[in-house]
Amino acid sequence: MSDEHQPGVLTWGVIIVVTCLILYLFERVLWLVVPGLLALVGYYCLQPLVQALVRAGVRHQTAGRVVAGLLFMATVLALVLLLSLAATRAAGWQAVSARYVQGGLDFLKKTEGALAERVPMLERSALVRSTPTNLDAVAEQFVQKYLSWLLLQAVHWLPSLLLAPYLTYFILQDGNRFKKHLIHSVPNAFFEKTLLLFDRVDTSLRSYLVGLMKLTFLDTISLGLGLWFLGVPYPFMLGLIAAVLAWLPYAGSAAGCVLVTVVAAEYPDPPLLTLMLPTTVVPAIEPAGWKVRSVAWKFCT
Amino acid sequence: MKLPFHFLRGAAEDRKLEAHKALSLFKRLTARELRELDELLHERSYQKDEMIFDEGDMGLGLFIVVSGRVKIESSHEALKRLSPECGPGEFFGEMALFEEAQRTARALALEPTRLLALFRREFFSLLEHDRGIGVKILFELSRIVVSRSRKLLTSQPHLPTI
Repeated sequence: MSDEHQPGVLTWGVIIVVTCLILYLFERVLWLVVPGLLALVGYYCLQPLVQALVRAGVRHQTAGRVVAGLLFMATVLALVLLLSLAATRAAGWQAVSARYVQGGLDFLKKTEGALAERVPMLERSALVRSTPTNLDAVAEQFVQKYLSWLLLQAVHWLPSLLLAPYLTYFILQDGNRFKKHLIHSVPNAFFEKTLLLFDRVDTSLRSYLVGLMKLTFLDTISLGLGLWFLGVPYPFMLGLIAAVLAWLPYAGSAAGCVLVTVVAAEYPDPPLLTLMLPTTVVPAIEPAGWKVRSVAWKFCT
Repeated sequence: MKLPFHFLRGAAEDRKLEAHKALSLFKRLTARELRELDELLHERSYQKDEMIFDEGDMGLGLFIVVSGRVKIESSHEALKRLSPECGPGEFFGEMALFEEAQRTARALALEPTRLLALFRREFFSLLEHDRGIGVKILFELSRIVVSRSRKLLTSQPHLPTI
């Protein structure tokens, strides 16, 4: 096979530089990129509803307003419920977080002990010797330091995230018109090719984002049911957090897996843990596993 | 069930929908169906002697003449002999709506021309969501294509299937 179409060093160099530049720029405007992406998710999930209203005889703009209005009301309602819940149960959450951190550290200590028993060389290693012995103090310090930081970050991101329903409204309302204007501005010679390009981008984005939402829903349900079966408090919220973390490729799935393992470590009953594994850990690591399999398949073929 | 939102429609939109309704391909569609279809139609303007598509290009959709005239030229004997033209309300490139194949003719604007384009993939998504509209358009399209085929067979100088 001829290699004349293979990208050379210069092409790869340009790709890496452009990727770094995009990541740098995105990091600077992350406050806009994140709600923008959420708005795209909202658009693809809610567009069928707008189309259903249009088929029922409602004008497109009115249908867009109605659906975006419902989304905005749902967001406000969710925020109000979350804030009122946070106000009444903040102390409880702190205690629960401390318990989970404590459980995680206990789990780490037990795992290290078990490993050291089997592999004596590890007993002398820096990793085992550096593990803190006063776990209660460490857990307390961790919660005080990071829980408040997490809450501050959540408050910091709140106005930015409120942009998501607002942007969804504009995409639902004028997204198609904007797309038509963009296509209209293309010279006639490239008209059909541009239509095809837009269609392919639209189809790929729709499949990916709607699929991601379905996966999030399934992960939340399976994780929530597993945690609920164990009697863990706030099972579906934890399930949702782990499922949302899985949106980030590889690192998110790993973080979700760590979260679930830390929670599972707090409930060390073997039969229950065995029952929980397929419903919690597997969905948490499944996206990463699926991606690894996809990449491996591509390399093999 | 239709909801009472029709009073909110704009006059410009009404005029556009009336213009669509005047086209033979869409004459059976209701106002609601025309409104839904309008989301998928792309309006294009061409100068005199500007090429709309060339023979051998990959066909991706159908074109409907709103105003102006379009000449169809082809290396195929039947089309070359007939040298058809399309006027307002007529359409061409309909084969691309059914199969992803190369165009069998070249389309040229004979004068400043305004066209509506219906892209195959968008038309298929419409068919999936609302078969009623699809059936009406496809019925009208089939009727016109059959009429053209009959005329082609009897060698009448009218637009054959492209």
